[in-house]
Amino acid sequence: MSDLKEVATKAGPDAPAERRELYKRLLCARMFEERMTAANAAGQVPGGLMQSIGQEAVGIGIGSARREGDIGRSWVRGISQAIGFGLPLPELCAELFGRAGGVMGGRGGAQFLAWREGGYLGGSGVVGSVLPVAVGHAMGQKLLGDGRPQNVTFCYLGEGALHIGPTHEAMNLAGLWRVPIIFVCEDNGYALSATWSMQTGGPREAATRAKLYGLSPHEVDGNDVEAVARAASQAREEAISGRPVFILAKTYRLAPFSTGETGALGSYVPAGEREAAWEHDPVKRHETALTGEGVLDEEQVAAIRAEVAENIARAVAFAEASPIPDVSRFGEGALA
Amino acid sequence: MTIGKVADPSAAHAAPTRRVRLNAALREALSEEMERDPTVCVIGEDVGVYGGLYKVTDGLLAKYGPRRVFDTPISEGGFLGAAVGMAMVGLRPVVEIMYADFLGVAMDPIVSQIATIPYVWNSDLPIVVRIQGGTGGSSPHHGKTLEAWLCHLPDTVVIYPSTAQDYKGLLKSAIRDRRPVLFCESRHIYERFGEVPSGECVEEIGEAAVRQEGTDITVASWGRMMTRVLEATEALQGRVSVEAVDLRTLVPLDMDTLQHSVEKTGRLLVVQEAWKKMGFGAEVVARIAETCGQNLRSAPSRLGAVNHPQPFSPVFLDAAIPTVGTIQAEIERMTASL
Repeated sequence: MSDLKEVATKAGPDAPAERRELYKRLLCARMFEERMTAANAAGQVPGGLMQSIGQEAVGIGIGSARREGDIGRSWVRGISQAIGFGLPLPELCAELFGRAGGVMGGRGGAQFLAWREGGYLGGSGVVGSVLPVAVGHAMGQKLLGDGRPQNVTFCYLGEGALHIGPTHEAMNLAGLWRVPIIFVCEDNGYALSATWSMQTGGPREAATRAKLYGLSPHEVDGNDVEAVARAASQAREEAISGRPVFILAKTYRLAPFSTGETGALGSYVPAGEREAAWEHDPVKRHETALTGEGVLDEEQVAAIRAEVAENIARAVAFAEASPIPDVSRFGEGALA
Repeated sequence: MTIGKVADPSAAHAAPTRRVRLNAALREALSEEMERDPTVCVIGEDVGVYGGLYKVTDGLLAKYGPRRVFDTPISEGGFLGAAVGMAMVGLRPVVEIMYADFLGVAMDPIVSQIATIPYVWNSDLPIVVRIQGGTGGSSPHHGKTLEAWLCHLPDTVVIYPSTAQDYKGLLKSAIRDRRPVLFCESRHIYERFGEVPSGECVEEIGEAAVRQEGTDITVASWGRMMTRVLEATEALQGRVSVEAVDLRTLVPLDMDTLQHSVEKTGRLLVVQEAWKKMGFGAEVVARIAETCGQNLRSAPSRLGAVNHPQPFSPVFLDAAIPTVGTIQAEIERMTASL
């Protein structure tokens, strides 16, 4: 994946090469998660896998605005965001396999993916927990930059995190301290089984809430990777100049809550809803737009697909060959 | 075998000392470390303009400015989490939690971040959380002693000092440490005076201090209760030979000093201000039982707060926690067969 780093940042997503690059990353996120789902079913990836299938345009679009030194913080559903930030696929895959060669040496898993050299510091298994921490990163970027930050922190959350205290404390502190942070709320429709109306009596206007804390509110179609990429670039400029941003990206979770979802799959989803939502599949949508405009042809699509498949196969091979962590080193690095 | 620092009267004469209040000792530690290291910053409610509810941070805003000293909204979970984020990118935040009772709304950053990140990331996390506590005050919500919650967590240093020199020297060490440190303070002894070295004052984390040597019984304590243990010890002078051990650091616990003492005395009493049930004293007794239980000549004992919320009226408070009288009585009971 290292050849993908920083590519979409030079000319913006309007240039044909950049648009094709976004497509490649989107496809990579989709195909990688599909491969990990199979590996999970085969027992190679332990635990319940929380896929972002259907939501990849958010992580990939935001990631395209990332600059060297920026920080990314995520939530439990954080694989496509990691790919969007450029986390190398082999180390990502090995971590999901729980292997020593994983980016966290097998200590973190999908919820604690942290790729420090690339600034992607991962998520948290406790909803809302990481938002104040992300504000602290941005405060550090401001203070260590002598008040004029050179970098920003992108902090993802699900809409299910909008109703817990730390989220509001974090937004309030961000507005108060005017730190260079961009909250990116992926509204995928469901907090496990809970819809918006099951979680609040307020309107479905998350950005309005953020505005009340002094954040600049943005809303974007979270299934349109180019719209997300443009919003991310604008937000980055705004945040770095002293106004923290909140982006609400509306999308849809095409996958179950996790591969560990119990009971009838998606029993809380009205009949036909998920099937209809596939019509707005962000990967297919971008592919259709690019082929329709002549930016991509069928041959190029096939070539990109083959290249992505090969990268994923290489990542899986790396993970499979990576040693199982040595249990005798369980306590290594423990501090107290 | 390493044993903890033993009080040495001759050493006190060797190095010049100054007499300061305990809250001033903390203030000196903060100011000196902020002077020494520009990444050290102070964060908390009313720590800047107001100088801290108990004046620990008084004057720091004027001296170091608003980029080093931050007043925060009433938002413990928010600003403690933010401080963790700052520590992860190169700053060394010292956070003040105004009352230990407020840990309830600040526990997520402590449990999910501070006690998790260093191990999972295999990295340093230089943050100090100063937690002011102690029984009594305005309500059952301004009087808790909750170190047991903190000590239960993995990979987190917990310090609970009792003297001016340790308030200063251990806080300075905590700020310099690469590990997260939860630093517990007792406001009831903030106004007491004690001696601190005139020059540099740095105390080793993880070392207990034998405040008085003795042969009949080991009495271990920390924080405010340590001062009561020493008063009880004083009252028993000439009748019972008490070895008084100030644990100072609860995690990591200086087992060498404790074990050495109990092997000598054969008796152990642990005195804590927190609720006795499931308290840190239980851990001390358990570890002594595991390491040198065969040396015990009588059953170990614990004194702690009664198992109720702290009531408001002072008459209840006197009955809530160990006093010099109850400590003295328990030492006498345990050594009656001598």
